[in-house]
Amino acid sequence: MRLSRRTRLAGVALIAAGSLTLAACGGGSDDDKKSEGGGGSTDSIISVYGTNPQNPLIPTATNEVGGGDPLDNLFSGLVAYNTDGSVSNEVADSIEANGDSTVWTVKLKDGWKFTDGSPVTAESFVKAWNYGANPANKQLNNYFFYPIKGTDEVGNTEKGSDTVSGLKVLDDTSFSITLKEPESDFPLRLGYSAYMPVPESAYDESGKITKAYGDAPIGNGPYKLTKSGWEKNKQISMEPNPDYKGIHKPKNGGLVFKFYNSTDAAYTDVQSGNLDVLDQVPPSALTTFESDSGVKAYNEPGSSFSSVTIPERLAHFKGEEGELRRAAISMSINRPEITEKIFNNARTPASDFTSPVLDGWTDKVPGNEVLKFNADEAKKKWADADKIAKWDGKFEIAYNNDGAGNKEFSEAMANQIKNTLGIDAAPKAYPTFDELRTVVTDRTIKTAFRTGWQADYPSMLNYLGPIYGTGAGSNDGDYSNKDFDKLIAQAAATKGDDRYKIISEAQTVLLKDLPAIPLWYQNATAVTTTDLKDFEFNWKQKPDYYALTK
Amino acid sequence: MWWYVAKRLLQTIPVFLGATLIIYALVFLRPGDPINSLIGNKPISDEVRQAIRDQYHLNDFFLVQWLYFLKDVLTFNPDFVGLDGQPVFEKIRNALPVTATLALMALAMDAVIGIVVGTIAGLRRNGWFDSVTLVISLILLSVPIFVVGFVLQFLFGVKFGFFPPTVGGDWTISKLLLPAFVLAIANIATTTRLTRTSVANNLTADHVRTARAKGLPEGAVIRNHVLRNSLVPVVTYIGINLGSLMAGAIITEGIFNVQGIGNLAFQAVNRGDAPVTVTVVAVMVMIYVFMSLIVDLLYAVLDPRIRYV
Repeated sequence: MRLSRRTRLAGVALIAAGSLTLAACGGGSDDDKKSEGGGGSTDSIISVYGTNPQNPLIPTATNEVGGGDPLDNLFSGLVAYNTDGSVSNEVADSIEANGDSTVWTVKLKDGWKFTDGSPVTAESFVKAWNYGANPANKQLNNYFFYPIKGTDEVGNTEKGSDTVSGLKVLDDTSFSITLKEPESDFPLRLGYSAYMPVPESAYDESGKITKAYGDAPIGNGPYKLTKSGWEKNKQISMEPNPDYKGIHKPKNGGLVFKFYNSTDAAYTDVQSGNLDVLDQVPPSALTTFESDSGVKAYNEPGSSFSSVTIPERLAHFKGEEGELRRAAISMSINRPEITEKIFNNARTPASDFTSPVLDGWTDKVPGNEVLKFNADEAKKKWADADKIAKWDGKFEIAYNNDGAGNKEFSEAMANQIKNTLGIDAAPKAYPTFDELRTVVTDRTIKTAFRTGWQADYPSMLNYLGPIYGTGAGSNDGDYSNKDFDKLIAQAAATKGDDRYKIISEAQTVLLKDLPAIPLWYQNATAVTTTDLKDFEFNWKQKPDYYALTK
Repeated sequence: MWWYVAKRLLQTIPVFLGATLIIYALVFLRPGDPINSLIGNKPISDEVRQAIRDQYHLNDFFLVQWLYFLKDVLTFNPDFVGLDGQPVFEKIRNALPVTATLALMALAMDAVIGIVVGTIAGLRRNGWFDSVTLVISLILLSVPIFVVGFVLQFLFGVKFGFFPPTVGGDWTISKLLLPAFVLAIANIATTTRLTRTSVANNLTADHVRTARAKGLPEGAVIRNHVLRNSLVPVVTYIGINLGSLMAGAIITEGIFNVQGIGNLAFQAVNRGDAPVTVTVVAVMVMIYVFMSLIVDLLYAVLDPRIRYV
């Protein structure tokens, strides 16, 4: 009895195992058919690397690349960025400033529609911006509204008000923006996704943007979501928007942002032809990707900037003594050696505080010799500082251990400083990025620390004002210099190429004070399948997705 | 037996409460502010930061946070969201099936290959098959899973193209074959060796000698008297493994880009996302508890002397 039951069980198990295998084979072939697609039309759909968005896909709520890259393709703002970092009007017909660049009047082009058919009006922008600035809505991008009059110093609507007083709808197709300070390159900002328009259908009766909208946003951009849209944990699929009237008309049949846990897995998929574009090469492949015959490789200087910030509140880093010590530390760092040995040339040694991809950038900022390795000069400056006050203690550089290469470069840098200056220098690890940022933002950190900046829009001023301006939002080292502030304000009020000279002067001030020590520009690296064409990085280190073909 | 099952099920309640409370305490003790990883290098206004902290009760003591968590979980609150604003239950519903399938496939491979090879090796112990098995299982045990994973992925996925190198969001059983095998590898070695030793021991047992002496055919002796007794420790090992396979899938899921529960847990821990971390771990603990219950019940089937009353 018992035996027969077990025999039966075994039989069932065998059948189950058999059918599992069969199902596996069946599943395989079905699936292959599906992904191969029905010939011509699907061939032009480009699959690109993505990560599951961390926030609902709402322009003012999304501040990370997983959601930002799809949003950039689903929405069009007042201006659009060209591949070289210059801007062209997109939804805006004109953006005109008054005499001192404090009041900007925006006129919209006719005929722009959201993909639900509703028109893009002045209200579509103003209402979305008011929504983003209102702290009750918990939008992570609210500081983007900070330059506008009627917000406080972090971009919230002023206390007790639901709307930003500097935003006025003039008529259906025009509105005005009043700024707190003159800002001649204000329109450069307006292509960033936080400034995108949102249709009326996004809001519920109480005026909140709905969860349904965050799951399937309706935009006015070059692409719109396909029927399947954002499949959580899987991908975001989009197809060309037939009503799109702007300058980034899709040249392919659609985009699929496939989600990955790691860039390693994505790299393997590019090698085997399952993924068309990976816009960041994993550290494990950095030494080999340029010679890998299975992929097309891209590697050029990009727009993110790395530095080490030394707060003035640290002992020995104030005043004239501090200036000498900062210069000495900067000159003890052999940047080319680190970028080559540790980053395999995926970084480019810095020669200023901005990025080479920007309009107006030059490697001839007066005073930037302090960024060159010079052991003798470094020793001399350190000795001079010792004459003012004797150095004691330890120089530590804090880094977060969850970022690739951070540990290695911090150790190398500490070693170089130690060897050149003969002082006790060491890296100091924080396990995660948010732990490091917590001690940085609450100012309890007692050491120097690594910092980085990825600009929001292609302007040199965006690399300077928000980080080194007195009291600025990202001024982690609490740096303050009246001359610098004055030059930045002056540059912001100056139109045309004249401002670049003033920006150079402002950078010279920074190079003397060194509130942060510039290290390198992060290169933009990417691999694509060998049959992918028209890949080019834009200023954001991203491909221009609309132009990709194969 | 049913009373035994009910008792065991009742025991899951304190296990659930205790496990989630401990994890809440751990997440609470973790330094750093999860809001900082949400916003990156950019500034955020205190009002917005405060509003988000209030929404997730981050300012409360962890016991209070834990009570809020219990309320959300026990009522299956569909608005119970992680720090990223996505519903937690939806995340788990999306991620659990693929990991469960992966773990079950690994378990099946482990059981079938391990028991068959182990039995053969045990029956012919000290023969060439046994020796070869011993060497191979030692190698499998000592090579880290990510080495095996990357090598097999490169060979069979990229080089020869037998399998898709990664799984991705639209998984199928055929896509999971290679990762399941990688996941099963270390366990197969252990199962083989366990079965082999157990079979070898039982071969010399008195009851087996008796069975042979009374003239039972060799096949029946092996099936009814050797294998059956040998499987008790093996079943324990395999059963408990399902729990650890689900948890240990993190590495395999990373290599093969499986959007499963391991990946979800890894990212949630990295972000300091307490709601997601705690729920995922609670799910894993529960699976572990239920698997060990099933294992215990299987003993009774294998060995009639074991009775649960």
